[in-house]
Amino acid sequence: MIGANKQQALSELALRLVFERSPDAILLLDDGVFIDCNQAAVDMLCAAGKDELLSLTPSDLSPAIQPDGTPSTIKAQQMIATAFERGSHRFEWLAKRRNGSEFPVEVLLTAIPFLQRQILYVVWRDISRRKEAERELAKSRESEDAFRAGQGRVLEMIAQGATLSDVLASLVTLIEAQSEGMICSVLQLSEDGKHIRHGAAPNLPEIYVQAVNGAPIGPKNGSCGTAMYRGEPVIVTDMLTDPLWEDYRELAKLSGLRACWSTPIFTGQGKVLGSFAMYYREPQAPAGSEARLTEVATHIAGIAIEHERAQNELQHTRSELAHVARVTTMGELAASIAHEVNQPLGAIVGNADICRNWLQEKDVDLKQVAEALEDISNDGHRASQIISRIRSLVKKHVPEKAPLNLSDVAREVIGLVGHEAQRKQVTIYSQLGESLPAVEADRVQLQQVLLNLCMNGIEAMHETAAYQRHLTVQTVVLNGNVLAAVSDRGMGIEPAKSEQLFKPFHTTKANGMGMGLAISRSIIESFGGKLWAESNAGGGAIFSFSLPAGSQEIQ
Amino acid sequence: MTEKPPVVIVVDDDDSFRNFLSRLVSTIGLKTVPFDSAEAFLAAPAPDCPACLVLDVQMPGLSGLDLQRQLARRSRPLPIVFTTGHGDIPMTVEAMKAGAVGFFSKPFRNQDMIDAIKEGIARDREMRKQVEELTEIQSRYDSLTSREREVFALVTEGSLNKQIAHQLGTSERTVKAHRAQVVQKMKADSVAELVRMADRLKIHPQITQKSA
Repeated sequence: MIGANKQQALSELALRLVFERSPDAILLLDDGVFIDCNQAAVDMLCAAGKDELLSLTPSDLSPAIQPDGTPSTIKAQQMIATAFERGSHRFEWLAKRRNGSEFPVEVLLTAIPFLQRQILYVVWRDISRRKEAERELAKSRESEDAFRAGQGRVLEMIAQGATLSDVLASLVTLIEAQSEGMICSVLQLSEDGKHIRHGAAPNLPEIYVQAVNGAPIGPKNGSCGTAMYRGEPVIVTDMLTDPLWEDYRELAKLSGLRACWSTPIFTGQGKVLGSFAMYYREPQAPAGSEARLTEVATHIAGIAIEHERAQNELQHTRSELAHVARVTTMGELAASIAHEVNQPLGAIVGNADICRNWLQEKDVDLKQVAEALEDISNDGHRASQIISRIRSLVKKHVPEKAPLNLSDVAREVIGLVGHEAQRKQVTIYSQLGESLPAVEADRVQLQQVLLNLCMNGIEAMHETAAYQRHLTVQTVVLNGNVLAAVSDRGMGIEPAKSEQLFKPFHTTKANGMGMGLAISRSIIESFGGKLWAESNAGGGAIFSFSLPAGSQEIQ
Repeated sequence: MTEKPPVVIVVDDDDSFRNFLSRLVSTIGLKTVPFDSAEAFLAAPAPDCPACLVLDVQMPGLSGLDLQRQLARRSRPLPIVFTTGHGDIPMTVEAMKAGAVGFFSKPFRNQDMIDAIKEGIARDREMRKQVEELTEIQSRYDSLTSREREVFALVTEGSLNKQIAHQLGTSERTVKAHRAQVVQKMKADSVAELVRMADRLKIHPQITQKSA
């Protein structure tokens, strides 16, 4: 059985050991002044010895102001008061070493009885590391958020139809911002699957970008050419020694590039679309953290390239269809066209015949011959103009936006259908606005839409009494839009059916394909406009379309 | 009576084609009267000389075929040669049925057009001659008294004087006198000629049925 004295001695030893050996700084605070402390406190505060700390106050070991803006003296008093009130109090504090450097501590104040009064048992735990880690975490969370937001913005650009080069440039810039000293590029694989096409590389040297554009892919064609060829990532840690770069060594040297890690970009079906590469100016091997960036970059670039190709495909199909519709319309106009061309041809052939006869006579009146030849020449030009007007509508072409005056387009179309209207005994009235603001559209496609509306209008009036067959073509500015309207006096349209008219293959004509209005609407919508039908108050129908007015005015 | 020189009337909305036709017509020494629309032609006075119309089928406003229909209602329809930039068969059939001299798709052979124009003018000349003759016969006929007209009708029907006298309830002598008047006023050389005139005037003896 252990004696009471021994018991007490053991307890005191334990306390002493805890006090002396604790890794936390322990101090005793009596009446606002430190009266004792352990070695850890001396070390933590970089004091020469224990004596240096005794008789100091908490604010002597703190900067003047705490991070929340309160002076340390005042805050220390508040904390001490709270500790006495509650028995103990735990809080964070900014402390100051003897050498002046500041560091965060977690403080635990415990009130203990001592010689009939209460003193404070103070434990300081250095939380510099924890704070640092917290800051790091917050920072990485922030940059992660920014990175995600950046990805969102790039995806939004794709959805809003930004050009592929803009999308890819934004993507590359975003990825580069995630890692110091890294330069990125996106390359595309050409449609034939054999050559490299430039994608985006805003920070690679121009000479390098140009050399790569159009280069073939293959088993030994640098990092990207090889990655696309193999369909798997190619990591080159030093371009100046790697055999894959043998043929491109000089280029790498000239461009100041040393490491290049390239990863292929795939379609959803696993077809190679291009590659994403990370470059460094020093030899370097992947550390592993780049994998996620690569994954994000190839994923988004894949979406962007696939989207662009799908759009191109759609555009191509749409313009093919529009072309077919134009040719079909021209077929309907064939009789009128033949008449228009035969008119000058008739005069040409006839005049030529006359000239030949004159030239066989003895006394040729050269003045007369010259006049006739002049007429022949003029008619030849006229015939050629008619043909080129038709040809421009019939030949295949890639739609191009340009500022256009809608009234000019309307005049061209009226010129085209004028004869057809005459044949069908339709009188065309034009009310074309002067000095209209320009609209951004493709001339041929707008001609096509107006031509289609005019032909429909003429066709709609075949049962109308001849004297009432009026087709009116108008252009006006209305609420920031330029509007064109074609009104007929035909059988009109039932309001309930006005939308059906625009469905593909909807037709009321015996020989109609039923695509005209559907195509016309898709053309107008592709230029940001609207096309609709309504009943004409005076009988018949009005087909109108509006296009956003540009700032430019076209005379 | 000297005939006025014939003209070719050209109605075509195409300036250069009108010029060409004028030139072509001038090579056969004829004059052209050009119009750029059917309406303008209708507003102008009818020619008082042999004429041929060269008409474009398709023109703004009144078409060539419309004009042909309107002219057909006139006392002296002009011969028409049609031209067209692009003709179809129904159009051609309609025009030819309505008496067109020719129907040409542009371009055509000048000689064909000249032949058609010449034929048109010949037809019109003949038509004018006939109209003039008819007018002349008509005015002679108009100078007959009503009794003489009755005798004229019966004579040309082939009745003998005796039968006529009986029908008209008069003497054979009186009939003879009337008959002589008729022959003289109508400037006929023979009964046969009188019969031809009656034919052209579409005279038929109505009296016979009445009093019989």
